[in-house]
Amino acid sequence: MKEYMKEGVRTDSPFIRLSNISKSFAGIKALNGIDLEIKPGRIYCLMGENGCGKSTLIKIISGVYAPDEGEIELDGKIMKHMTPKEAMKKGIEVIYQDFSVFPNLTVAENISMNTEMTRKTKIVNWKRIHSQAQLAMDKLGIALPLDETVEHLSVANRQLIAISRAISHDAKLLIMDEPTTALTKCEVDALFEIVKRLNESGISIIFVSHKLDEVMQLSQEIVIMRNGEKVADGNMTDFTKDKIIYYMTGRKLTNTSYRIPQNVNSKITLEVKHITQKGGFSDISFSIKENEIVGITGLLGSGRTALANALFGISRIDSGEILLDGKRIRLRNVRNAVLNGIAYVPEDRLTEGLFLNQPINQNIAVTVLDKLSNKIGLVKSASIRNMSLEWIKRLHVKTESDELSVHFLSGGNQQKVVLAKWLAINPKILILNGPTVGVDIGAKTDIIEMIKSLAREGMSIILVSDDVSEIMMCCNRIMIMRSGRITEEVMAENINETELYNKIRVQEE
Amino acid sequence: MNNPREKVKLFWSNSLKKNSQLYILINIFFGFFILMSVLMPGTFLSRGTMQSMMIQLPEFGIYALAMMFAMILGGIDLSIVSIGNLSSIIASQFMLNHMVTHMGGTGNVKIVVMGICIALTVGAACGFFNGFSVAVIEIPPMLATLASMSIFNGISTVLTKGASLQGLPEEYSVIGGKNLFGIIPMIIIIFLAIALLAYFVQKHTKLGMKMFLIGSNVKAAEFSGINHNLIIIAAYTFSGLLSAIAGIVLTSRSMSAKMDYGLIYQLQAILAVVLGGVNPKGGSGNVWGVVMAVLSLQVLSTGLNILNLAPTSYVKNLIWGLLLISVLVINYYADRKKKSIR
Repeated sequence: MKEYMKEGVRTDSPFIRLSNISKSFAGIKALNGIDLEIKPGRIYCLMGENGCGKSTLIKIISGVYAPDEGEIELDGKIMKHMTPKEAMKKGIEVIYQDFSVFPNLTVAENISMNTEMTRKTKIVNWKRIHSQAQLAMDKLGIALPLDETVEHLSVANRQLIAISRAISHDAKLLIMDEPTTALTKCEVDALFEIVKRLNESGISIIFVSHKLDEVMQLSQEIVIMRNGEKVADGNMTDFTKDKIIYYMTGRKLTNTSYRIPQNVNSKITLEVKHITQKGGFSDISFSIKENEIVGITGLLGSGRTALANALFGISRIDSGEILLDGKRIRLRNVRNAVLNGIAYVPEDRLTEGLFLNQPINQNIAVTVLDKLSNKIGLVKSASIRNMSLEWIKRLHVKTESDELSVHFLSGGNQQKVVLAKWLAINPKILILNGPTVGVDIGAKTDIIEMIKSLAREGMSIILVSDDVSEIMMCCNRIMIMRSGRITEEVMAENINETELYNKIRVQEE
Repeated sequence: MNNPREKVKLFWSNSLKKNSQLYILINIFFGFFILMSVLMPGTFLSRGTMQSMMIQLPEFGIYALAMMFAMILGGIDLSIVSIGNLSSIIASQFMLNHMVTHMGGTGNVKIVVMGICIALTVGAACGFFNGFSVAVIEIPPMLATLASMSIFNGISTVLTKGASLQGLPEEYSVIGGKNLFGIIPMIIIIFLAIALLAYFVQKHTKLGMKMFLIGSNVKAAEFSGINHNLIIIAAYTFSGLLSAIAGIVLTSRSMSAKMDYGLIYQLQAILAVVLGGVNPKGGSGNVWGVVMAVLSLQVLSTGLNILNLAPTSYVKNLIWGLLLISVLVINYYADRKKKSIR
């Protein structure tokens, strides 16, 4: 591969060259000695698991972050202190996951506003706004109504608007961050057609993803990152699926999926019958036994998070019933759920799971303060520290002290703290929503192993996630949700990652 | 190392390293104290000045602690002084109506005790009202307590027609007028006891810990199964209760009650709490920090009085306002610096 790169340099001068780029946050190296060249007119794919430094690298290329060390050479010129504005001027455009479109403005306004705003005149030229927008869409070969308000458009169309906006001024490098997350299979295909078209017109593209099939289908070049380092790069034809997985995870992918232990007599713990929540999900029925890890997956907005929230009493169901150990329970609020032995690791640990400026021990003890206190509500700080130290040890939370604020911890260790606070109540049902999002590989393995061993000991676990590999690695049974309903249920042993991936994305008829 | 000065230095640096803000506050206090002593050695260091400071300090200090309970939650209580006045007005009216008119005897002791109980009940009820509006109705604390301030002031005005209530039973003055060992006012002991109690509640009870957690992230608190509404109501009730105590201290010292007593403490209490290291966004703070801030501000206030630099309360208000903004600005830049180091 190295040989290949050297040849490449000779034949073709790169549009942008990064050499030995490093960047740290809070003393933790997010990027370590990255060398990267982007040649004009190629489709690159930047791969790596969550937390490997992909986003940081993009932000350095687009001038949002300044590297601590290293050099950026853009169009043959060495850039010192590159700002996002300069990067844009040079033709680097980033489309972030949320597209950053203005839902209350029209299609034309969204596409042309940026360039119109940078013009010196104070008067808005509506004719030019329209013609520019039309031009950009023509380049992509799409046709959206120019005067439609963007909030009325689908996710896929919003993305097209973001792309149109990016190319409406002279883009040379288009970076797309996880562009397929919320798209159906059909929409993904359409997007790829557009990407190829752009590429043919000479624009380089960096496609950021951790979804193998998509990447192999689209890209010409591949760059793989792990733990802040570039571990491999080269021509896509030199890579096989197994090789990519090996580089991404640092280990051979073995069939580590979870199976219910044999010769145990598992009882049904949680059963829901025809539960419906208006605007969330409808007519959901399923049951889960001890020792089971059930995956609930689906696209963004399929109702998976709404269902998880309802099972934890965060929002109420409108009809149907929930049974725990055969007895009907009513979940009016979170407290009801917790008292019934239901625990929930929420989707966004920063805003929903953690008290960032409080010490680790308080974050862990929060669920058991009532148990740790005596009759008049006194809590010994020693008992809080002891119990939290025990959990810190059991879950391998990397920290100097239990009295450190949680915001000093890395994502993976923060997630372990959230997990610890729930394991402390010894729940019967553990619901996890995207437990390894933004978590480094080491902690991810720890967390997944922890989940499996809890299930082996008898806990019922519901894993809500859109990360197919996470679901496949953990669950013995998988339910797929679409438009608020469970559309399919499969046993994990009867399906592989690609099949599951395609099932989730099947275009709705 | 055996040098006692070294030892003191070591103690300072070790025990206070964890709490650098407290260290700064102690220095500020001594700074103000020494400044005032140097500026007017004769008058400031006199027994009279010291005693008047000790007499004024408790009501201010207790109001500040009341404010602290709201601000730890990330809220604020603009009605503390109104609660203090309303509860002492209702208690005073009760005492005036039921006191045994002829002097002497122990007949009034019972009435006074009942009066105090009534004041505490009214204070707690007002605080509960605030807590209910903030927690259950989800009115922003600023608006909820601004409205209740107006309501409580209104009730006080209607009850007294704006006049001051005087002629309270002699026994009532025991609280505000008595000195321990002839020099230390009783009320300063009350203040320290309340500070200790507040410290204890905040650091050693689950109620206090939950208050900090809610102040830090109310959503995470809810998602952790904490009954956040109950805790918020409890905190505001505490705030009301302490306000009532501050009201009692003030009225028993002056032996009168009026709807506009101590209005300056409203802003001063916020200033003391913020200066004392409580993050206005909630979730952090320490009773002793607030106590040190109260001491510092009292020294400053008394000093300004003696120097006659701030002859009217308007000028003082101006100074407190400027100080509050300065503290917030300093905190902002200190915070930014801390973040950029990360």
